[in-house]
Amino acid sequence: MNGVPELLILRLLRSREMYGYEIVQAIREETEDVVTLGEGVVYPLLHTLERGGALTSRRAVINGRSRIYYALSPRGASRLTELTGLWSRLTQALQQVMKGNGYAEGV
Amino acid sequence: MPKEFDRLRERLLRAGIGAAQAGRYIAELKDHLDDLAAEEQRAGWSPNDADARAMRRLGYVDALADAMIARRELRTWSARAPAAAYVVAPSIVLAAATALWLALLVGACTWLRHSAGGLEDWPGRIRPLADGAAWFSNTTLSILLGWGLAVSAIRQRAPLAWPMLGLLVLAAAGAALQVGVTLPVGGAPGEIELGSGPGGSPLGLSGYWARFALNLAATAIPYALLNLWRSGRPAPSQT
Repeated sequence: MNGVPELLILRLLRSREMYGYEIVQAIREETEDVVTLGEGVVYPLLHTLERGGALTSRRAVINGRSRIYYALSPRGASRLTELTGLWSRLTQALQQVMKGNGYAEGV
Repeated sequence: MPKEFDRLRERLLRAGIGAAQAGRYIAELKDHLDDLAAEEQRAGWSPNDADARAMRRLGYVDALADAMIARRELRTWSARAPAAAYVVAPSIVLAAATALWLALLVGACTWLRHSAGGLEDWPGRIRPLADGAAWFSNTTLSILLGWGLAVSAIRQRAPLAWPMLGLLVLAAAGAALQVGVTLPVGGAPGEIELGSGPGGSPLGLSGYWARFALNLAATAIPYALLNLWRSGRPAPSQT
């Protein structure tokens, strides 16, 4: 599962900026609870992605509450494309194995 | 709850996470906790139960701290390379600041010499500035840098050894790096004199050791005492 939280966060932020709580809830909803990020531990990952240039952040006051919103940067968009390709190849390969092949059946 | 966040902040700082980074993490966690508690209340839990459930969902101090500490890239430069941050960099800054003001002085003198436009006594006019800069550089600059180093180390909860060594080196460098400036007078050129160590100091050996002791007394001793005082204070309470 290494890299899954990063992929999901980058994918979610592709469409709009979000703050940490929103990101965790969105991942839970969109994966129908299959993937759940630790509520508090999402922030170190967000900080790391921001430091690496994949995300940008801004503080905004909405409904009287000051929050830090994260958005995808151009570098993050490139990283998302790279990770998406990687995961597509990986899932295809895994499905191939799960379906079974000549080697497995022959043994 | 604030006590848990205080404990988390201390753990993060001691592990080398920057003060600003730790502060932002905690601010985000507080917001997140409020959102979770509101969600639990909407689900029908009493405020007290909602707070407790929100805290469980957020994660406890150790897990929250470990998640941050595990990311080496979020640690400060001073935590990753304390020798460079506390020992080497301050002396380089001292030398660079001295070189910078001397370069500015030489530049100003050169410019005035060629374009003062009949202003014959320009050396007299900038002499107070040059003397003041030399005095500041010789007596105060290394102490100010030492205070900056000490404040940074305290803020970052750095272990005593590296900052103390840095203050020692800075006191020695500050005592050794003594500048004397003679401005051009009439047709005679100006002169910059640099003391480069105990033997080469314009004021001689005793002057060097006196300056060294003064620098140490103004920086390392208060820093060590403050550390001693802080270590005697009770740590943020355990959960």
